[in-house]
Amino acid sequence: MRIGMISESLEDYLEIIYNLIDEGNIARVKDIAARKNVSMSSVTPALRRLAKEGLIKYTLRSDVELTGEGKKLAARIVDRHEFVKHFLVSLMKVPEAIAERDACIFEHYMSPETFRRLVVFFEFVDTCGMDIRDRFEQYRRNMESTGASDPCTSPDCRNTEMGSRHRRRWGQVKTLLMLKPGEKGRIARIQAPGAIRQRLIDMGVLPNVEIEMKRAAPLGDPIEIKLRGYHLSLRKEEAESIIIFPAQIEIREPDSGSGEYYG
Amino acid sequence: MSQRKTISVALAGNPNSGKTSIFNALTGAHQHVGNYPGVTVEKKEGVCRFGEQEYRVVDLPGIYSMTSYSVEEVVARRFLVEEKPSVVINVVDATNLERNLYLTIQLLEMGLNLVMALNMMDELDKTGVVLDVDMIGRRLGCPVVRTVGIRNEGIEDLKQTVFDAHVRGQTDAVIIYRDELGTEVKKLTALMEHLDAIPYPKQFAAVKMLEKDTEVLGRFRRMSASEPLFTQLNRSVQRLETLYGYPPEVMIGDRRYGFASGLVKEVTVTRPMIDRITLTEKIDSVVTSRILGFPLFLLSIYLIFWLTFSLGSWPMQWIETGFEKLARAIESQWPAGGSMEWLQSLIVDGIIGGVGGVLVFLPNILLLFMGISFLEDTGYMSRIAFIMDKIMHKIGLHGRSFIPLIIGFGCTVPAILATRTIRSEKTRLTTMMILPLMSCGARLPIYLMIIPAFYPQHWQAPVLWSMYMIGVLLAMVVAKLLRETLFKGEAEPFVMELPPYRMPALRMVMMHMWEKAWQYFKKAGTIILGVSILVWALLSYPVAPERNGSVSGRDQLEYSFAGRFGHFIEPVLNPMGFDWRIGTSFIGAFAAKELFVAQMGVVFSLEEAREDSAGGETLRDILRKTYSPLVGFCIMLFALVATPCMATLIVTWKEAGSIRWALFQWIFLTATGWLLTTAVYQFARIFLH
Repeated sequence: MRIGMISESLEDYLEIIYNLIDEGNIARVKDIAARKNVSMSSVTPALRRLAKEGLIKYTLRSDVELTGEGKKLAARIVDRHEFVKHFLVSLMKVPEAIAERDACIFEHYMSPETFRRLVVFFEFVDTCGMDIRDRFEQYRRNMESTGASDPCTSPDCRNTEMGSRHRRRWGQVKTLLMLKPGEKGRIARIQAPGAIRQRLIDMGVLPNVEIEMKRAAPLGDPIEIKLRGYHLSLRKEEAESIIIFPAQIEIREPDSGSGEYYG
Repeated sequence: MSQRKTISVALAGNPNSGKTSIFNALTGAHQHVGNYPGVTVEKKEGVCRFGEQEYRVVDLPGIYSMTSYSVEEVVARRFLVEEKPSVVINVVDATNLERNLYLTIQLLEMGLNLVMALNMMDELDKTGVVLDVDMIGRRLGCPVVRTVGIRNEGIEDLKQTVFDAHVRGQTDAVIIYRDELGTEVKKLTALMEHLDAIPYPKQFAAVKMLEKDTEVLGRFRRMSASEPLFTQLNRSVQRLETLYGYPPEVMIGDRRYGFASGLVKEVTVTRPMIDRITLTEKIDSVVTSRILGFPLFLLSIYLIFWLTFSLGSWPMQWIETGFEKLARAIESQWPAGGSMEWLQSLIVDGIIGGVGGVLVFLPNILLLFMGISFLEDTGYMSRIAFIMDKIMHKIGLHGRSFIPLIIGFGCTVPAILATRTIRSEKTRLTTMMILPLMSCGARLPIYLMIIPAFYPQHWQAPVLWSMYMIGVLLAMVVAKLLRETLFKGEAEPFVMELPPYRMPALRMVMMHMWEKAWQYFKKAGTIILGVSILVWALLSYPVAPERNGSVSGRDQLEYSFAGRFGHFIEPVLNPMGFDWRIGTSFIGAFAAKELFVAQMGVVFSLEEAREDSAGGETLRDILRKTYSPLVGFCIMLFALVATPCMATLIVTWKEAGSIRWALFQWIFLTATGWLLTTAVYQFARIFLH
């Protein structure tokens, strides 16, 4: 279940339930109605819809509980809300009350892609901001060349470790290790240090190359991948240093080898 | 008249490209195997004739690139630069053209006189892909020959082409870097004009500088006027990084692969429409699967060991009886008590006893290596490394270290030879150093003599098991220790190709076996022979004075150099609870560990003391009366850890490429053994009393 899969008003209900439980209260129909500022009779159909989607457990005259799925989606919505508010307040210096209201709108209507780029941008400014005008030129170029996943390609940038916290939370940075067996991805960049990076380059592990995850070894490490029509094994730590383009981005034709000439 | 001169030809190519099969097809049996000076990398040389012409063919180690990160690459590069072979044959796996071309491009950049052997054409035909071979040659500017190495196809053609290439001399094939990268390369090459000559073409050197290649950078750094070059390098690296958003080495790799993939597209005439699942993928989905991966792996190892020891036991017995008959024949023919009695003793006890004792293992070693070469040639060895790497990586080793360690339970000598499959120098040396800690077959007679002598029935199996476990645990500790001190360095990245499964050619397996047998024979005939004679002399001289008209074995041993030395080092032995008799026996056991049992027999005036005969029982009784169970345990511990046998030392010396490592191994393990045994003995004495 992703953001935008259910209607805006249902998302609001879910958010309210989440917040009530999060604050240590019990989520009863009465409380939900009070928060949303509507009558109790209009809450019930919404709750039924949410229950039908498998996001909450709800029967008449009982407390509302979130399912695992519901909790996950609600947390994402709340997170998103907080991020937008934080972005507006700390970076744009928007007064908090306005930011709060705007965040409520943003959280439902902004496309996931725009939102993702906003996160990347925020992190870049937050961590790489020392020389913003020069760095911004690099930012724009890197956003283009890495499929908007990695604005700062310098290997010793703070952004890589700090940024990964935010980005991992939002599923922004996808490493080779995250591919499931049989799944394919396109390489965005290699973060490994000197000798290993050179070795990977020599084996043809380069930006824009298509790579397929085959399997993990019986003990879980190393893993086997396929690229350029041959099979290669890597340890997990090496696989983690290979960044994959996020799946939803369509990118230009690869510069070098799409591989698999002979299957 | 230059045709009369020997042309030197080097073979270069990726691992698994069939380079060795081309080498064998070219040189046949005229091969010489050695090491590159100072490193563990194997150097194969051979002679090949074509008409009137004689080539000296050198098989370079299999490499993927021309960086200076791995020993193989450094060795190959040094050879190409320093020995300047007239022609370089680049063996290319036709079924994996794109990746193989990456190296080809670098060989061309190095300005070498290249002939491409497009190998495994039969396999390519099976896939349904058709390549325009002439077009490859035209685009690269070097001749291309189709070959099938394992079936000798295209070899005559290859010889002719090499000959022509030699006569014609260098072509001027150039790889051009376009755009900003090319501009920066030109800036760097321009600055090199004023500097001393280096053995690389300038463009290659410039590209390598941008790739941060330590060897090329070092060459320039040593020059006095290279300051502006390095300033420019920093500027270029920075400029390229800001322009492209990637470090230059990524850009360069991308350009080379871009060229390779473009070329492949251009020369591919037809390709199959469907991306079919290959046989290799089907096999791998079973062989490396979570459930069946381990059982199949254990089964295959078990099969090889079963083959080695069950099938090998017959020829082993033949050799054993053969040597015995030979010894007896000499004894019966020789006039006893004559003035030449010492010579008889030298031949029977020294040479036949020593060399024969080592040659007895030849059938086992041959079968074992047949098994290993089968695993290697089919491609399964890489899967074993894949399966075992997680465990081996924990102690700083590589998945490939596993096979040698297993073989070490049989005999350390072939185990050390088997470390050749480990590519990283540091990992390979570490593996060699810990191999003697695997309880080999020759330790077993020692354990079997001591354990029943001192321990009650229900303790015997656990004690035996604990000896093996102590060895394994110690090996793990030592490996970890060595990798963090002496062989410190970045762990070898496990970026390993899993080559397609292939049916090994019988001819290749046989050649491989013959090669190993010959190496083993040569060792037995030279160094092992010499050391055997030396050990014999230490035990036989000076001759003890006669008592009652004859000399008993015991008296002779005590009187000999070895016996005196045993007495001399007694102060060192005492802390471990040993007396001179145990010490002297250990000196004899240096020739072969199992000799310890025989030596103890001699020391206690027992002829033919074998643990299975009645005499052995008596020896055990004497041992029980003379020593405490604690001393018995200490003997086993010391036999396990200390003083690797002579054959181990010699093979380590040869394989590590320097006697330093053999001496280090011997001293390190003996010191460890001494410390450990002393600690056990002293602590146990305090706590037991």
